[in-house]
Amino acid sequence: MWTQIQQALQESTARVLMGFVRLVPGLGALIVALLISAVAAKIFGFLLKRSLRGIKFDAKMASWGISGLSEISPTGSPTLLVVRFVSWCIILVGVLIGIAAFDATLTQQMVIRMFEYFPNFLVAVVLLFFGNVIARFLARGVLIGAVNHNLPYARLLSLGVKWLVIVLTSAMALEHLGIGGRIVDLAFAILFGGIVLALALAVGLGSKDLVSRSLENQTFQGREKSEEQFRHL
Amino acid sequence: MAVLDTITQETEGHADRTGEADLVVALPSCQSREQLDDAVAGLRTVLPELLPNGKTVILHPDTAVAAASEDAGPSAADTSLQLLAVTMAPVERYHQQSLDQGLRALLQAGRTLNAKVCVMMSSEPSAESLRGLADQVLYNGFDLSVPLYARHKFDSLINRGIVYPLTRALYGARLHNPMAADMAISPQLAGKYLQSQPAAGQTDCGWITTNALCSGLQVCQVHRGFAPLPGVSEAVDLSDSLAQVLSTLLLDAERNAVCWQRVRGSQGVRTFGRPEPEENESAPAQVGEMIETFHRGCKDLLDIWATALSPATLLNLKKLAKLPEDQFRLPDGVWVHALYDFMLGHRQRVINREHLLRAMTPIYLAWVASYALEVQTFSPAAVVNRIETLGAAFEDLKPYLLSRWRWPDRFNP
Repeated sequence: MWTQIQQALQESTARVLMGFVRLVPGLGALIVALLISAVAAKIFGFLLKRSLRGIKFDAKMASWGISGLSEISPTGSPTLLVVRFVSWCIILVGVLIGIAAFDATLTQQMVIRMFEYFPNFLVAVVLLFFGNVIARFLARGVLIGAVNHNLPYARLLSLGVKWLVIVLTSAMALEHLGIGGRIVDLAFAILFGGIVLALALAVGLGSKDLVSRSLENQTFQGREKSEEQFRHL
Repeated sequence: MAVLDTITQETEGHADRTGEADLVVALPSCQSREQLDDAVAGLRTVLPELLPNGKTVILHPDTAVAAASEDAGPSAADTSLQLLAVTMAPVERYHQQSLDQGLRALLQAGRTLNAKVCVMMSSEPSAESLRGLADQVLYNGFDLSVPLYARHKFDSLINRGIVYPLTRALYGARLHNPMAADMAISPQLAGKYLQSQPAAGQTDCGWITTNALCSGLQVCQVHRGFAPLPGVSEAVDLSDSLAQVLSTLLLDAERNAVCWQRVRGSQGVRTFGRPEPEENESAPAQVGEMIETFHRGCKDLLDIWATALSPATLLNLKKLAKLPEDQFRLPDGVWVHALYDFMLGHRQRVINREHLLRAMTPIYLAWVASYALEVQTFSPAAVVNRIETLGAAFEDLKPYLLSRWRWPDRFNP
């Protein structure tokens, strides 16, 4: 009896060790692939950074009017944003190569699934990116307009507009990724409605004086105009 | 360049048949027959004296159908005055695009008709104005004459606080109404203007006044009465108007950078006519709302201002926001630095240009409030002196603008 138990234990230990030994080369390959991709990412990133700085990429982006990109870039430099994006892409490729060392079938299945998913992922990233740029642009425009019209809750209004656009694009992105299903729709409807209600209340309560002034101006337009003290043009 | 591209085919044929003319006058504001009849009747009274035995052609928008030519216009026997209908929209004040379209129609016609002077009368088609402006080009050898309007102390504030002093500092000419929409133009300046092409990404060739100054042509100004009220609807929102004027001005400055970087100091411009007598006005300035908007700007727009303004200017604006209304004064130096910084920010596109220019509204209102509080008890002569002092401050700080324009990346405290 004891001998049989001992034999079973030895066999299972051998199987575990065998499995571990089989894993070691794959793990080593993964680590090597990761190291190589990290080094490649570093070198490629360095070269890319130098070339982009050489062609004054940041200034060119500004002169093309894409100033929104610098706002979401690390340290306000679109060059760094591009360099980091490319570097992480190289590391991701390294990870995929490393995983291939474990099991060819698994990697093949993963790659197929990833490529099936990739267009959705790309659309989601593009949606989030443009959503962010548009949100910032609109928020700034609303903030400036509200301050120029002397609205008391200018910043709140601007934040509301910003989050409206971000929530909208995030919901669209999640739908493209197929994450969340109906929960996303529901959450989006609640959040969107909530923000609109909050904005309506803020504007309504905060600007009642402005609205009454504007109505008065419309009613007594002729008199007000003749009493205008300053002419700017 | 296409000949008479803004003039209709029919008018083109008419212009050819007309042959030559000494004076061509454009009346873009006459959009109806009645307006045109009145204007033509008025202008006819001055023509024999202005151009004895000369021939005049009046361009009017084709919307004011040439029925006027049968009534108030010339008869078949009267060849000294002819009317031509062209495609011409009303010219808005400070709106370069609409002025450019009107000017091109006028100057193309002037060139075809071999005119000695072309007169644009976009706001005030009066006989006195025509005589005052055209005289200087016809008989005194000037290439451009523009009106110098009398102003109440709180009128035309964008011109007083920004357009005049900035143009003076940049181009070295003390021209009080550089963005005039009424003017008389010589054939030489007309030729230069028609030759100029819009820069890449721009829709017009720049302001004709700065064009003349940069070309070294002779410019003069003629005293007129108080400025006429706009004939067409204009932007009513202050930030719209300010952004429109600043955009025109700054794009023009970018276009003429090579010219104004060589200019130092400024000189007076020959002025003709007698100034309109002005009354002493001493109504207290109501500036509370303007100061409130400035405070709100200081609270909410600091991040946006910081993209363009230097730290020292930003600090000075913050200090200003803490002052009570009776001590509220924006020093000329701070105002000029702020304007120059926005000019540089606009050039470097630190943020969207439209946003940047609109974000300047609270600072402009701070200047208006400070100016109004300061000059509310001043006599008209003292107000003129105050604006001259501001112009001198713009000139004194021009080296700062030049340095940052040429080396934008240099450290700037």
